[in-house]
Amino acid sequence: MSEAKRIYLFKRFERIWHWSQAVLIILMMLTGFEIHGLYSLFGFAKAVDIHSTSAWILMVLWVLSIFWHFTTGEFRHYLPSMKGVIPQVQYYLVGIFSGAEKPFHATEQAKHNPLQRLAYLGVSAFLLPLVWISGLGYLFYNELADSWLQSLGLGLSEIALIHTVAAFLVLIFLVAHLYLITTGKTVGQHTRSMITGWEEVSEEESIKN
Amino acid sequence: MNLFGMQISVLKGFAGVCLALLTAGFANSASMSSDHSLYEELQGPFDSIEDINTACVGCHNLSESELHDTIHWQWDGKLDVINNYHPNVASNSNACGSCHIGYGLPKNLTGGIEPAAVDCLACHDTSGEYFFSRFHQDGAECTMCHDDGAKALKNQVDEEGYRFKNFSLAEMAQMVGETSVASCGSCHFFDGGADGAKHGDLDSALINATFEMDVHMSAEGANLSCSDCHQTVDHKMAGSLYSFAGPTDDGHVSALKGPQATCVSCHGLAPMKDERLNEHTDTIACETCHIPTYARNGIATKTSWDWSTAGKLARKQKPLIHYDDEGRVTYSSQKGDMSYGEDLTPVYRWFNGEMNYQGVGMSVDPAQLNEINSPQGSAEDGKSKIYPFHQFESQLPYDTATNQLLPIHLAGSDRTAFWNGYQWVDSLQAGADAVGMEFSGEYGFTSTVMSRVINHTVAPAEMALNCNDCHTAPSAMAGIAGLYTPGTNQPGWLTKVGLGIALITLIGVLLHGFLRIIFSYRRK
Repeated sequence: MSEAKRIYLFKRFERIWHWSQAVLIILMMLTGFEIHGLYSLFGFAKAVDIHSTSAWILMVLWVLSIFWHFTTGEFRHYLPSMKGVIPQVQYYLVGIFSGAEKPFHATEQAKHNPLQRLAYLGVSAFLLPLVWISGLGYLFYNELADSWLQSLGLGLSEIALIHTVAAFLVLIFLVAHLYLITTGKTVGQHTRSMITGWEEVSEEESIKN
Repeated sequence: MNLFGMQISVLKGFAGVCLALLTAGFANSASMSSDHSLYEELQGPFDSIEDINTACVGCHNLSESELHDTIHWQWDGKLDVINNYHPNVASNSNACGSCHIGYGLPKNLTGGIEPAAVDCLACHDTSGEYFFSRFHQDGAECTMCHDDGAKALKNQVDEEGYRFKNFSLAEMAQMVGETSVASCGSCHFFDGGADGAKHGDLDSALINATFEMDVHMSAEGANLSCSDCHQTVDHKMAGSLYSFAGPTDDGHVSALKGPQATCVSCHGLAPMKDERLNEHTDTIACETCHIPTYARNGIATKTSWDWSTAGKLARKQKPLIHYDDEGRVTYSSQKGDMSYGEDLTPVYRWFNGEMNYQGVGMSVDPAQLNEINSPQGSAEDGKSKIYPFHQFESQLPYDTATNQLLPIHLAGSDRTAFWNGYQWVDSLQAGADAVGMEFSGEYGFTSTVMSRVINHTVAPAEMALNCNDCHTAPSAMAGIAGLYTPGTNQPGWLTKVGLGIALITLIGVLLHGFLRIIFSYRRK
């Protein structure tokens, strides 16, 4: 075995952002699906309160994170590229079972594998904005209805439909995400690095990259 | 933003309360500024109630002509439209006349009601005795207000004596004053055959209302009288459904004009502390949440009436009366079968203030439930809100040859009146004759429904509908066309497809994880 080397993948802001976003999104899913009528947990009024308060915090966090990604240049980790996507898919479908070598190793220059890169870009550039924009339409429906929402053919039910479809997509993302983070070198490896910021890579791997 | 909104709404609420106090104050000072018991003209003695009118109009010389121009005199609307309780005024003017503010109606009302002397004390008596005595002594048909012809009350009268015999006409004339809940209620509480029978939100309990019954009228609440909201200009009353304006009006009212009979005229459109609740007021009328149930004052309202069973007689041609355990009349030969309800949940529907009424001879489809009146409005017209309604069903006679509802000649001194002769053909023929309708001689009964908007008996805020009542299934707003109620209205497929894909994803990753474990053991 080669010697282990530690690289600093996730900065402090990034980790705070990730975990507070995680808590808020889970809270919003719990309350959101209650508002949707799936179950009764907090009661409708409380659920709406928690849901909208979390939404505002999340939007502030979103603005801060956009600012952070662009000022630090971290946005580069999410530039779309098809390079390495197919080997990564093949790895998840076949290699992971046969114990094949991982096609990708994280570095400070590319901390996400090619599939992650695309998935996260899709979530943060399309899915979450869809949630937020439809959510704002929902919150300010009365103010916006007459001016332009209705001229777009969007009644409250259409906005709610978009918002709920997006919410189910977030749920599906969450299920997949929670599983895929267990596919590191050990089950807890990726989670640990999101907590401490540090990821252990072998000397051999870091040289190869 | 929320804080700012809250302050505004608190201010608005405060302004509303001030306005109410201000007008209540005016009302009191007006009645205090002159003492009618000192007027020479009112010293009497009066030989007849008409003489009191002469004394009144001697000073109030415009009042009569003002009143001739009002709905309380003209009965415009009421004369031409039908309801499905006592269906028609035509030919029944004697019986209906006990609630008119004159001294008896002419027999033929087809040309409207001509100006004549006005019975001032019908509304302005404060003794409580005048209008009571007038009903009971001027030959009013007992059955109009008492389904059993007051049979049940006769024992009480025998035991306790007559309720009122304390004042002379002169004393009553000297006690003249503001209208009161009791004076308005003497007509508006007892129509439909019993206390609270017709208006599920108006009954005699309101005279001493508790806070739970009505926050506006109770002494612990705003302590308002009917006329504090139904204000008059030259005796013209604000807030009648016949005028197609009033209870649903959202317009702002100048403080100088005094409150109109709308919630909004005192409370504005954003009266609540929670801005999210205020967001509802563009779609939901105040009454919908704040009158969660009606007929909840311990007095039942009628829910149905079957005229088709009327006319069954006991031996010796005596009319029958059946009571339920609560002493309500469930059958009378004069009226047929009736049923009652208390603490009822309203029916909710869109309403823009315009009510389509039907007249005598309305066409019906005997196979269907026929709407005697229909509240207009929809989600799309931009001016409707969802209002609570009392829906009342009854079986009414119609001509089977023409499918037209027939007017019933109920009361009078002749044998053709149903309440004298109990013969449908005779009374329907007399009713038809009175309005100039053809009657084939063949009749049947058809189902009708009437919708009455509920505006009174506003409950304390804690009793109002809460979020869950509408936003969790089963929703109080279920089935209302064009209304999206978050929490209950999304298409079923959405949840199924959304949860289905999430479940497939979950099974997929669990299977993947399971295979990883198996293969990793194999490799070892």
